[in-house]
Amino acid sequence: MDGNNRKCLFEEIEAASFAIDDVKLYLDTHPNDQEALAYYEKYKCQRQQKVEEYTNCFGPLTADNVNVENGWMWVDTPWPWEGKC
Amino acid sequence: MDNCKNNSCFPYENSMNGYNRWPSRPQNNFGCGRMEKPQMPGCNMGNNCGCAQNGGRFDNTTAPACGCGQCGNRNMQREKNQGSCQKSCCENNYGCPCIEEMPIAMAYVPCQQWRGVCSGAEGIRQGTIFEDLVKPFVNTRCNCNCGGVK
Repeated sequence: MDGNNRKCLFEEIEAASFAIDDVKLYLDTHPNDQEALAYYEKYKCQRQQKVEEYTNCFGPLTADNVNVENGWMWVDTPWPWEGKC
Repeated sequence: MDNCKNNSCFPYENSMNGYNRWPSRPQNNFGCGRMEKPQMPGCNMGNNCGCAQNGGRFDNTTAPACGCGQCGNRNMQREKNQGSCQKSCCENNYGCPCIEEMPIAMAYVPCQQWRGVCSGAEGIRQGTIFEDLVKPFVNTRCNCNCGGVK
């Protein structure tokens, strides 16, 4: 169950990250497109929220998400090649 | 080449004494004359589709949100373009009816419009969030009856 939730959260983060990357390319050539800006804002917020949720539940995804109150957890969580995320 | 000679613009004209002298200035367009510089579509030709039918510049503040017609030339004089060419080119992005008016040997990229945008989840599945960019490139150069080589 925990694994499923983790996988689901990670997929949501990936999807939001992809949407941001793709709309970013569009905004480079259409910087004043309000609909595109709204789309970017929506997925930026969504990604921030999901990353925070993931970090709280399963540890940091990137080194800049490490909360040092719990010590240096960066090396305690699984690495990508361990197939856990 | 004969045309060039007949029009006295062959690079080495024969002089009276039979010696060649320095070429004269080319006079025509038979391959040896001075060619007109190709005109880029855009600012001076009405819109990004290269349509010259309206002949004038247009006010890009009235351009549609798709960005079609946005021009990088900040010095251009803004005039309102109330013709149908700009609109029809934007609506029919992939089949600009004005293509016959465009200079040859130039490449054109239609302006992208904000339409058919899907969710991030669907986007990551198909490789783009834009439905317009979902192309069926499957084992062929293209799968759109345009002569793709299998």
